[in-house]
Amino acid sequence: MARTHGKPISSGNSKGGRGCLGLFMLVWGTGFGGGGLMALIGGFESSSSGDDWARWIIGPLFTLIGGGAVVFGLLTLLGKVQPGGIKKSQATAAPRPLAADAGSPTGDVVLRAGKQKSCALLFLIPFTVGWNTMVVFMADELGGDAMGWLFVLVFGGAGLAMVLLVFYLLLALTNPTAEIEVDADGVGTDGFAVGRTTTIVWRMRGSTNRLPALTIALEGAEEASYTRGTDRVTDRETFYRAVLAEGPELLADAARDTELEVTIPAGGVPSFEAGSNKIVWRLCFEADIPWWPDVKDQIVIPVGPGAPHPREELR
Amino acid sequence: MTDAPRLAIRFDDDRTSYSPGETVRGRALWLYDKAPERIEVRLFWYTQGKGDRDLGIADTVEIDCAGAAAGDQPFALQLPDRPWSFQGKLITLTWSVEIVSLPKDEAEDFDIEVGPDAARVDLLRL
Repeated sequence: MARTHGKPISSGNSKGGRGCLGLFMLVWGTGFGGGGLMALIGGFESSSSGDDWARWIIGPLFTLIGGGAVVFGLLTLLGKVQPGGIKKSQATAAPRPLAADAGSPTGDVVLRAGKQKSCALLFLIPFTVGWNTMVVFMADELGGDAMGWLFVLVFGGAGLAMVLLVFYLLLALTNPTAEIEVDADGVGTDGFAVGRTTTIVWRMRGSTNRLPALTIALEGAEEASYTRGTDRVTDRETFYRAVLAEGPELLADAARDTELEVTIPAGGVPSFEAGSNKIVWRLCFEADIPWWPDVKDQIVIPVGPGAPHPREELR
Repeated sequence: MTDAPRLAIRFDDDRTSYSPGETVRGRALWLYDKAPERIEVRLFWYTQGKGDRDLGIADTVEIDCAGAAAGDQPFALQLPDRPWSFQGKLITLTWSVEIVSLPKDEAEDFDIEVGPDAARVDLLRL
């Protein structure tokens, strides 16, 4: 099929929400930081009454968060930071080589689940502290009338939800973490390839006593990012899932190194990573724990194209 | 002046499907009243679907116009081993060969399929 254009497609550019997000962060940061500064000034001006301690906490905290948002907004607008992905010029169709990951003492390559929970806590704990301090301070200022109660109900409720989320994530951090080891010498830089079976070694770091059973699955997924309003949204769709091993008997193997064969299906595609679109292959370690955060570790594995096609070899 | 395309590509053996790593060969054709400054043939992939578009140029060749208003020159473009053409629920990746006349930036592009069986991979059927 042929198409005619006024402009070549190959000189086109990908869209981005840089402007919107940058502007949003700039405005939000100014407001947030301004509020903090006002609290600080209020703290300076007022006498040493009993509730001034709150101003001295909120003032610097909000000024810092707001200032950070303003700097981030400016950097985003200037193109120094790109939200939700890498710059197009850095986009690559090839997966990151396994060699880039930390190696084990045996020379094998060790891959671990991501540290999203720890990262989320790093942001969430100071934010929760700041939010709830503000709620206490504001509730005190508004008094015990209907407006005050409404404020406490709405903002205090959100603050309580954040505290519960922090508590949940802290509990989740105590769960065991999945880890796999791949023979770097035997598989080259791609590690896994379409249509090829690779033997890995897996283990769970940490206590598995709470786990009633374990499931190990291979998943292939599409990830597409786009801008909606001021947000960068990523949609995910799993196009392949195969359970490789499951059951309570797996837990006996969890603490020690256990071999597992992983086959990337022949009809699949290699890993792909560009600015806004990805094809990701991952090993999922899952366990439902009653009355406790579940184990849902995902280890991304780089999948290469494998051996050249026979037709190509004949040339 | 007619509305007919003044740029075209003719693939060798009329092939429009290739295996990764193969060479895409064909002829670049142009027909103008006045000789273009430069003609380029580009091999690239782009994404379509839910996400913002990504694009990558794999190879480019400059065609020697030799001051001719009309011409027909061979080209060869090298395909990398990835990415492959695929169609999923959120993302479709398409390979294309584009002929561009410069400095007018007039272009025609022709989709090809790149995959292990010289075909696009359908993730929905996996």
